[in-house]
Order: sequence, then structure tokens, then C-alpha cells
Amino acid sequence: MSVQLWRHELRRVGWAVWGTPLVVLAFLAVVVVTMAVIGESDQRIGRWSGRYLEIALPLGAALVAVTLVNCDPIRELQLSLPLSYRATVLRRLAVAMSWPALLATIAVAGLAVVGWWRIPSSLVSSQLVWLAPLVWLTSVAVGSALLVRNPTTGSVVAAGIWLIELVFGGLFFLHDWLSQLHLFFTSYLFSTFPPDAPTSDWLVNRLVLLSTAGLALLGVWLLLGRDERLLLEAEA
Amino acid sequence: MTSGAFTALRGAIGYEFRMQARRKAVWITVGLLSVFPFVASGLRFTVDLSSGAPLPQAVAGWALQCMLFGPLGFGIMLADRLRREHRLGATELFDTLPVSMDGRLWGKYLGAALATMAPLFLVYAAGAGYIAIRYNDWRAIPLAVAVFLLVNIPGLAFVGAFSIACPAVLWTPLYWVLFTGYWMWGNNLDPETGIPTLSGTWLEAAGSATANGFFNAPSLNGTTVAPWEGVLSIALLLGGALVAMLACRFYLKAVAQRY
Repeated sequence: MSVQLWRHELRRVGWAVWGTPLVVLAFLAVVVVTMAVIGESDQRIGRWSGRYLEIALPLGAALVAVTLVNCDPIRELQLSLPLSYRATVLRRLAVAMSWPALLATIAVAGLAVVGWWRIPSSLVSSQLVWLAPLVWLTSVAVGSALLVRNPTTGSVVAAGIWLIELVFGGLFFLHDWLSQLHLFFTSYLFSTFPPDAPTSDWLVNRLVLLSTAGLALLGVWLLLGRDERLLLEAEA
Repeated sequence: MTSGAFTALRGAIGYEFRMQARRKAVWITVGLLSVFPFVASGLRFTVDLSSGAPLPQAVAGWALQCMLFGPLGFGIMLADRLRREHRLGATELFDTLPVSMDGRLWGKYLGAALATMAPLFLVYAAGAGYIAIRYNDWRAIPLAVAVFLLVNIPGLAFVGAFSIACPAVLWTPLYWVLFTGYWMWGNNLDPETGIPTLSGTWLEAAGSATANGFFNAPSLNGTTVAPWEGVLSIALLLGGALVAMLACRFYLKAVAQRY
């Protein structure tokens, strides 16, 4: 039964869920190959790839995930089934987050094989470059979409945080505690501390992001349990 | 345009405007994003009001400040408008009505775009009002209207047209991703980074070319342009909007004729 449910969700999430992260990573492939063709150094290609995975992929994952909540036209029926609607939505989110995660893992492995992955930590821990912002941005976006019962608002929240952190990122480093919440800490390190050795601050930042994302996911779980809020979404 | 078609267009504009204006999310997200650069910079205007800078420069600098993030919310909030009819299964029903597809499409664009830019305009108007008080000069009010039309409207018309048109052919989340990336790359990215960008060019939708070219306000990226480049920027942005809307119209017509 459980396997059938997962297979059902895999089939129903739609092409946007599969295609959007693919388009995002296809652009990475195009740029990396172009940089190699025009003779950019491995170091520069490596930095660019790391930055891109940290910055672009989480945005793609978050904006796809918000479309999977509050999307069933007859939620009343879903909520009346013995099957938990909360579990259904969480399964969808798991699919939406796992797919870009799988693609990113493959991309990092591919870059590492060619010598274009320049994060000087182990291949396993360096996955935190994209994993932490991906989980954080996605869970905050989905939580916002559920809180205001509007997927589009969740997408503006995610896109707004993303853009603000890129443009006003320097403000986050005025306070130590705030820098721990910076989504693009790796990219910041790249631009400030050659030769880019991730410091202990980097690891703390990644762990803080993951734990605050956990809190946001807890909020998602709680919001999904409030049936009346799921029903009262404005459909304008 | 016949009087019937004009009435239909006016009706579509009014309906789309009211529908979009009643979304609380539009007011909150676009309003907050428009005012954020002002708040984040410690409640400071781009042009220091106590520096004795000319009034047009101060107003245009403020117009540009509102355009740093505001259009991001504007574009995303518009991107679900065309899809909405399709999602609700209303497209075929509308096709049977005497109102033409052109009237509906342009009505949707103009009505929804006007409503979605209202929060940005209110933030801008509040700042312009404050500037008028600080300068003790009532001429700031008509000037602010002219600056909004020249600096803000062309860029908003440009991103609005693409936000209405592109979701016709792209998945909405993919459009959101591309649009957010475009806004960062084409408007906020410093050209000094060496990455080829629209930022600082005539096609920058944030409006640096007009704010700097016409009113000598500091552009978002430090570029300095001549007034004629501002005119060219407006022409290119409005032309781009027209091309996007016409392409969308032809695509929708072609799809409708398949059935």
C-alpha cells in the first residue's frame, strides 16, 4: 500500500516538478562547458559551480514545492478519507525535495570527477553547500504558503528572501548570530577568504540552517493538521 | 476599435483590476518588497534630502529605490493570472462569449498590472509626499507623477507583459524561477562583476537609464547616461512589452484554432 502511494505521488506531481530542477541544472552544464571551452581555469569553474549550486538550485526547489500544497481542488474529499491528508502532502514535498537533491548529488559527483568541484572538504560534507539552503528555503516557502493559504505568496516569500540575501547579504555579517542564518555562506567565503577553506563558521552556519529548517518543517506539519485552514484558502 | 470592443475591454480591465486588488497577498508582498530597500538602508533615501540635491534628483532616486525589489513581487503575482482561467476550466467558456480574445488578454494585462502596481505606487507616493514636505515645495507632487510615468511604468509594463505571456508556454514555477533569476541578473547585478548583464543597459527594467538620464539620479549600478538614452530605454521596454503581448496573443489564437 505504502509503495503504491509513493508511486502514485511520483506519477501525479507533474512535469513542472521534474522539469524545473532539470532546467536549472542544464544551465549549469551549459555555463560550465562554455567556461571550459573559452579557457577559464579549473579554479574559477569550480567556484562558479559551487556558487551556482548553492544559490540557484534551492530557489528552483522552493518555488516548485510551494505549488504542491493547497493544490487539490476538492480538499474536502481528501480530508474525509481515512488516509491522512497531511501524510499525502508531506509525501509530495518529499518527492519535490528529493528530486533536486538527487540531481545535485549527481552534479557534484560529475564535477568532482572532472576536477571542477573545489569545496575543500570531504565530498560527503560538501553536499551541505546546496543541501542546507535547499531545505531551509523550501520549508520556509511551504510554511508561508500554508500560513497564508496561498502558494503564490509562498513563492514571493522565497524569491524575496533569496533576492534580499543576494543583494543585502553583507548586512547579515554585521551580527554573528545573523550570519549563521545566511543562505549563501559558501559563496560569501569564496569572495572573501582565498583559498576558500570552509571554516568552522561554515559548518555551524550549515547546521543552524538545517535546524531552523527543521523548525519550519515542524510548522508545516502543524499547519497541515489544521483542516479548517486548509479549506478556507482564498481562490482569487 | 468598435464601441462594443471598447466596452468589453473596459469591462475586462475593471474586473481584472478588482479581482487582483482584493488579494491581500498582493498588497502585503509587493508593498513590503517595495519599501524594504528603504528600511534596510536605515530609513535613508538614495539621495540625501539634507544635501541640497535638486528636487527631481531626489524624487527620481526614490522612484528607483522602490524599483529595487518591488517588481519581483509584481511579476510573480501577475504570473498566475492567465493560468487561472485554464486551471478553472473557464477558457473554453470565455471563447464562446462575444468578447474577443484580444479584449480579454489586454484587459487582463492592463487591469491586473494596474492593481498589482498599486502597493508599489502607494509606497512611492508616501515617500514622494515626505520629500515634498521636506523640500517644502508642492511641485514635488506633479513631478512625482511624471517621474513614476517615466521611470517606473516602462519597466513595470515590460515585466508585467512577460509575466502575463510567458506562463502560457512555461510551467508557472519554472517561470517564477526564471523571472527571479532574471530580476537579479538583469537589474541588481553589478556590471563590474564581469558577468554579461542587462543591468546598466537600456534594457534594465528597474529604470536606471531614465532616472539618471532625465533627472541625474544615481543609477542602481553607478552608470551615467545621456537623456536620449533614457528615451531609447523607454522605447525598448515598451516595445518589448508589446512584442511579448503580441506573441502571447498569436500563441493563444493558434492553440484555440487547434480545437
